[in-house]
Amino acid sequence: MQLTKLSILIAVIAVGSFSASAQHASDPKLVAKGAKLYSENCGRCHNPRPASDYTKKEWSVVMPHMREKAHMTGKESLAVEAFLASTLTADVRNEPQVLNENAPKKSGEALIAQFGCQGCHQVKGSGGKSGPSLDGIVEDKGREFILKKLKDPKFNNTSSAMPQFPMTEEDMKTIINYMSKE
Amino acid sequence: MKRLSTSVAVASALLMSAAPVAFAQENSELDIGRFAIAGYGDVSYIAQDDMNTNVVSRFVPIFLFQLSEKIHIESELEFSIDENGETEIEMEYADMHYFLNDNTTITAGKFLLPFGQFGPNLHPSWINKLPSMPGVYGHHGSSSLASLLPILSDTGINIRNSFNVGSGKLFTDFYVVSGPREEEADEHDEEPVEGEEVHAEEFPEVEFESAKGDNNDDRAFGF
Repeated sequence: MQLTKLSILIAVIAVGSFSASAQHASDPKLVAKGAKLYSENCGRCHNPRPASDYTKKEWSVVMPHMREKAHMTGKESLAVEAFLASTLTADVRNEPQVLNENAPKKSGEALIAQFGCQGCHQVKGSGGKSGPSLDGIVEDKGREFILKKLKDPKFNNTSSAMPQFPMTEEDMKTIINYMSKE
Repeated sequence: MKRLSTSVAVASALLMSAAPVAFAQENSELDIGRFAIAGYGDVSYIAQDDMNTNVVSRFVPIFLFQLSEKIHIESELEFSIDENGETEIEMEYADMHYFLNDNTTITAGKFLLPFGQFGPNLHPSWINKLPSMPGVYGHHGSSSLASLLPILSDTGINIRNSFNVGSGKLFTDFYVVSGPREEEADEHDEEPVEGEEVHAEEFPEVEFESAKGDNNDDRAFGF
């Protein structure tokens, strides 16, 4: 009887511990999912913490702690960590220090998807609600304001949770042009 | 019977964890750290009768340690000055998480009881915007309300499952903890008055101060 119980327990743990291949951390879909989860989960109990509050290594230690608090699965926790990491390092073409002139330029729509803007903002009526809707924002605030906001998200609000994304000014203007056509 | 119920409940919690496929962090390009410090502090002014000091303060560091991708260790200490001006040091929680798979975590040690949301998630002073703790939770820090259940954390084991169901989420917690203390009988009880009935077995007083440890074999279960 004892052996049966032990066998069942070992079988349950073995099946439960089965591992599958992970999505690559720089996968744009994972980053976009992380942005959405960041908006939905990280603002439930407290203001979403800006990515710059911790380094990538510190976030990798903080996220398991928050995984338990927010009742997230391992995949969700990794997605949020990937999103936060993507705003802190050069996982994208447009990291200013290592700009690759030969890399293909992306459209505004692709850049918005890459950086997960809809995780916190609504675009074309869909997206998160942590931040203001981006529909009509260029006409409302002006191109200079949006450009300044993308360069320094805290310039008009020191407690803003919006991360500073590693993108060039050229890509910022591409995003602004895309949003001004909405 | 109690042991059978416990075994069935633990087995059920583990079986729930066996259903989905787990997730590995191999091949990730994320930087993996070991140690992080977080925390908060607060200073409060309280105007209340029978207080010697109106200004109370707290410093609450949180220590996080990642032993591996499967094991995470955390602890929160609280250094505070109470309304009498005396320094108190408490360990809010000190536990270890074992991430069994993508959906299941086993927590052991002293942990914040998943009794509602306030205790485990909303009690820190930088999150709790209320002037005091809700009445059902413990007297803590600068709370001025009498509490019905003054236990935020207790020692034991918790099995947590979390599942995405459609656009929503289902999560369960099953935990076994030490539970409240029994108040020890006073050895210098007064002699009964002649003619007064003497009850051989009185109902034991229950004391809710987990900070002083447990003094009985009874356990508390939660789901």
